Amino acid sequence: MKYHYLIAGLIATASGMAHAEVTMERLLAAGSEEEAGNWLMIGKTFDLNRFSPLDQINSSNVEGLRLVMAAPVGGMEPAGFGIGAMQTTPLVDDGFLYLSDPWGTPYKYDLTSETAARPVWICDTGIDKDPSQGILLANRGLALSGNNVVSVLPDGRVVACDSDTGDVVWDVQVATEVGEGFTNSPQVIGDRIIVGQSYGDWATRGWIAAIDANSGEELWRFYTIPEPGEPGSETWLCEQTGNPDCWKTGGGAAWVAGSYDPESNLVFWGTGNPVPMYDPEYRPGDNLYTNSTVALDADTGELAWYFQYTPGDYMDYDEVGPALLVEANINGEDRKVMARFGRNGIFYTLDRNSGAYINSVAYVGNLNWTEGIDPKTGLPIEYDPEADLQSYAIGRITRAGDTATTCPNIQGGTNFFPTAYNPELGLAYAGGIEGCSDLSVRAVDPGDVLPGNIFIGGAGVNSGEQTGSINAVDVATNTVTATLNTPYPLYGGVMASADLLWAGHMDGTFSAYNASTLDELWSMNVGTSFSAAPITFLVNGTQYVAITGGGLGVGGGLAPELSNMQAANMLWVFALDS
Amino acid sequence: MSLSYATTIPLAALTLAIVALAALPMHAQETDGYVGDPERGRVVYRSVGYCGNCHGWAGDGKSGTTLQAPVGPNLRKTTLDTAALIEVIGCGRPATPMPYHDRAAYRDGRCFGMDLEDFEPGTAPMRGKTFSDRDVANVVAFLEAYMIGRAEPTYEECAAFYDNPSARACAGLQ
Repeated sequence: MKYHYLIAGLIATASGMAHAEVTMERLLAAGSEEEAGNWLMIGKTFDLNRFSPLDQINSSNVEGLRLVMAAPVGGMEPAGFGIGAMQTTPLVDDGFLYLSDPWGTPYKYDLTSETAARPVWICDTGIDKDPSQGILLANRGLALSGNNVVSVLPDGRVVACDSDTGDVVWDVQVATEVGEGFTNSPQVIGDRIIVGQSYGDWATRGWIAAIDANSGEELWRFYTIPEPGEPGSETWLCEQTGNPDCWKTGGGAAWVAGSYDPESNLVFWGTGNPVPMYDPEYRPGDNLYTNSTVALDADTGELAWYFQYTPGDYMDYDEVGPALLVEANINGEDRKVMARFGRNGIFYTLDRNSGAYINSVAYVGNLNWTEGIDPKTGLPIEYDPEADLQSYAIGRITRAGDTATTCPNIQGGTNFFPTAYNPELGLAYAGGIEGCSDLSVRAVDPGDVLPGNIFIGGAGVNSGEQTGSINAVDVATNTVTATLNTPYPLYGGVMASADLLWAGHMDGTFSAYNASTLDELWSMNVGTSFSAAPITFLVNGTQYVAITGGGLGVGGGLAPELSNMQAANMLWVFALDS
Repeated sequence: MSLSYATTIPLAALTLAIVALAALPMHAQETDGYVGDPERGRVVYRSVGYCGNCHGWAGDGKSGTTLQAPVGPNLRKTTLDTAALIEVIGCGRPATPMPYHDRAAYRDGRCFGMDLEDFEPGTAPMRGKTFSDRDVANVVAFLEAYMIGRAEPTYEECAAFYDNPSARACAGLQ
């Protein structure tokens, strides 16, 4: 194996073009020594741990880090909600870096000179950058599949581009209903690509689908909201409302790509909030499978298990954030664990084979929506399985005028933000928001609900100042071991490497921290707001760290004092001062 | 709120009139000031002021509003007259999310005779995108020609608003 990649590397260096195809064998080995210099999937490995063992850059020398390469990225054209956010995690294979802009357009950069990030190609997907569409514009990354670079687009297409030439190889309209589209990243598993419909808050119905990696043909689809008669449909009491179709616009979007366990062949995807998010009277019931982790068979899409974090939600606590797959000794037993930072402010561990609840701990400083989690079920202790409308610790919000203040903020806690796990320290990490939101209901007539239009049924506005934090949680002991409070919400991802943790901040600061204490060891402000996660890789044997920056995006509403920061989509690459 | 939105702004109106008189020959228009152009007003509403973020493209407070912006009043059902519309657009509505768009608002007394520092903390109107006096009149002309008094929005209205029959914002109406 090692010899094979050495040869491939030599050929690639000689030609400047061709390099080894990204096979399932390589993806399964993405955490191996052979692939240590690459970053082949957004989470680095199928378990989404975003951990690199590379240690040329470490706590003893990171203070010598400097900016060594930078390149502008396009996609600044606004949609109806303004300029899109740069949330893409770049990929690197053999010194070539791939990233997407907020419209999902793939770019390839050649870093092998180590002096400049030179654009090799931009794959022209033919996207119509229609400014009328009232959508949140974002793209969270690409996937490498064979000799293709695959992207999901806001207009509902999935496009494969040739990784050598940037030419479109295939282009399939996977999402076909009005209002549907993609903001996440594709998940490649062998000859399948798993994608998730992302625009749930736009009065659509969420789904996760697999398509053929060679043709784009759809192989299976799992709807996150069951139709009447299917298991789970009994949790949508639409008939009570006089609108029996309320489930059809029920949301539950799968807007962040999941993790994958080759051993069980299960994929673990998170689902978004029920829609409308603030008006449960529009859609009484627990609203399965919203706010859940769903474990699906990668070959068939069959549901193996689900875990719903906040049933009958009215606080916008989507649970799309990454499901970290880790192994931990809990209470003397070696467990295969799914560990997640919930948007609802609580860190959960589940048995990844059964979905059984193991443990949880609040990780935000202020959490008031529940008095705690039932140690048997993992559900909020206020949860009443007999109730049509749940009433959590903050009380209900109603069409009759009852309001409430929920902590954490409706955007979390953490959110879509990439999280990380350092297996050597046994620590899981996430950045997020510290604050609260004021909630109120504004009833909408079903006749006024149009797919493609934002449909929230009320308001969730900042309640006072919002700040941020990064937390480290010891998975085995279920304890928060370190907290770093930040002046602004942390609205992006983290990455773990050796004894460091990395994060980009909303105000343009990129930082490295001690992985155990979260003490800052290095930082630099480059002026672009960060909402993406960094990566680290080798070029010609030297370690680099890269991250993309851009505009404030929707996170900007959490920090009004930063509102004059302008958007400039950029790739930033750092290395030690040689 | 103690300030009535129905209060007119003589200075603003006077300014409009002076600008109009100075800049335009008195051609076919019958009024004594600049007559707003509803087509220009549509462009200002759509892509200068981004008024649709709160009011929706259709002005109904529903169609095409954004996630972050507050929901604005239904302009299709407004009872404001021309002078009041000019005032609200120029000066905003203090103590509400409606921002002001007049470049000199709350600086020379043209808005209720007040400056920004006259407001209690947290109650001063917010600054919106800046419109020229003519564009304030143009937006009002657009509202009066295409929104106020109209029934439910249609696909045809949407396509015309965006100058694009295949605008994705209109797809749900087809």
